[in-house]
Amino acid sequence: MKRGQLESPIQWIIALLGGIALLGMLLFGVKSCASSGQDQLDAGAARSTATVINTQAWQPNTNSTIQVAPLHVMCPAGTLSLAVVDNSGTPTTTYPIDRSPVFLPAKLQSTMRATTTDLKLARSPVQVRYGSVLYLSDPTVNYYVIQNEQGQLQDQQLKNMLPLVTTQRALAIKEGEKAVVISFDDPRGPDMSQSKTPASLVWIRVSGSGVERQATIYKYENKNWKQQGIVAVPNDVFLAGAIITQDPTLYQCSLQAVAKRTRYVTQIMQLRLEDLAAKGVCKEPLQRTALLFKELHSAQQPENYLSILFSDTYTKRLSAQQSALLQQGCPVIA
Amino acid sequence: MKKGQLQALEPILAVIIIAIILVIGFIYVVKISTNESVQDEMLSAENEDTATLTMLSAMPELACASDIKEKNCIDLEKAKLFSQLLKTPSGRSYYASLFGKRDIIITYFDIEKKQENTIVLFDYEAQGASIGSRTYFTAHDAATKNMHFAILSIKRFS
Repeated sequence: MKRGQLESPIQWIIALLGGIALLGMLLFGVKSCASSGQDQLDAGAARSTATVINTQAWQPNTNSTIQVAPLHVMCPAGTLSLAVVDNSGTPTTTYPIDRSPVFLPAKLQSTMRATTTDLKLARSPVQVRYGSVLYLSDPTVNYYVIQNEQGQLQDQQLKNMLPLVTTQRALAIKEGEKAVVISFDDPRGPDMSQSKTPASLVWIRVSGSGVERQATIYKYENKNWKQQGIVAVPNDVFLAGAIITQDPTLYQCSLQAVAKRTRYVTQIMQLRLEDLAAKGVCKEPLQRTALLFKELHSAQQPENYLSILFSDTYTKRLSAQQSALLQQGCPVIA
Repeated sequence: MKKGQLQALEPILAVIIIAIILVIGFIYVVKISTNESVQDEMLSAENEDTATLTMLSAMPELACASDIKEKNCIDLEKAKLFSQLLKTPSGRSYYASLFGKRDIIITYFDIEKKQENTIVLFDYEAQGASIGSRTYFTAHDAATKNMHFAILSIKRFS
């Protein structure tokens, strides 16, 4: 073989190897771009959903359907977050939403029902509003309340927060239905003998009263009720939260977020009363009311803080102060 | 260079030319997609500005008390205290993620005193180009019981 004849195939082999290397590099570049684009898309979806939540959270009397990204809701390191998860369920992107008072289930659907309710003093004839709480509920989930012995729904207020349907203890759940069943002061679980196999079924058993009220969350698995946990539900606003989240961890996470935000709000209320009193406006009544808030802020744990805030004793005292301020023509608490 | 040598280099030259074309094509595609994502980002930031104004208008940290029947009302006492809270490390770190890269300013006009007053609610502490949005409010002074015309404005930094 001559030298010229040998050189040409070697050049072709070099060209081929160069071509393969080039193609590999390009594919790598395209893949990196696509992956970073997907990351950006995920982050964008989480951010815009968080914006929707933050905006809706403080709007009073919201009752609408909103479009959101179908994200997961998690609580990494105690921070309520939206998350994009991979096939193994590991979060790849998370976005915190712990600055907003919101209760939402573990998985968002692209269409969610958004309802807000006032966060105010329980059983108070006088309005002292601390803001509002947002519920994002899955519109495909049915919410049933088991009628009690008297045949009436005990918590009428709940009906305004959730689309509740009253039912008997013997449920008639349809095949593939997603449902949450709520029962009051009844240790017996719902009777499933007339029901078909649901896609998901959660039973919330409410017991106790006032700030001592608790909700025990059960999941229906393999024809058995499996207890998930017990949570404190100091008033209907929080009970509705437990019903929406259907999960003790997510509920606690949202509860902490609500408590933290409400604490800032009540701090501003206290300082406002103190400032106005210092300016000589209704000095004594405002100072007295500010002292009540001081007492409230001495509670360190979020659960304690909310328990005091919504306790009957505290509510009565704060409510009496608000009435007195109104009668005297003074600036009111909120 | 002899004809034979040139012929031998032909495959390598072909690969180089194809490589150049592919790289130019790749850069072009990346540029277009970056441009699109910048436009998306701008649109999303504008929507977020509107959302921030809507959120601020309903925040209980600013809203007037229930004895004031005025809609879209800011309590000036609360606004001043809230701006102080936002200057503390804990308050700032808590609310910063809600407000983003934005300055939030309340301007209210005292007709009696013929004065324009400003409360810097949140200072992002950035310099440079910014885009502004605003909305109008009634500001209530609980100490004097006076109502004022107010502007809530935000400046977004890129």
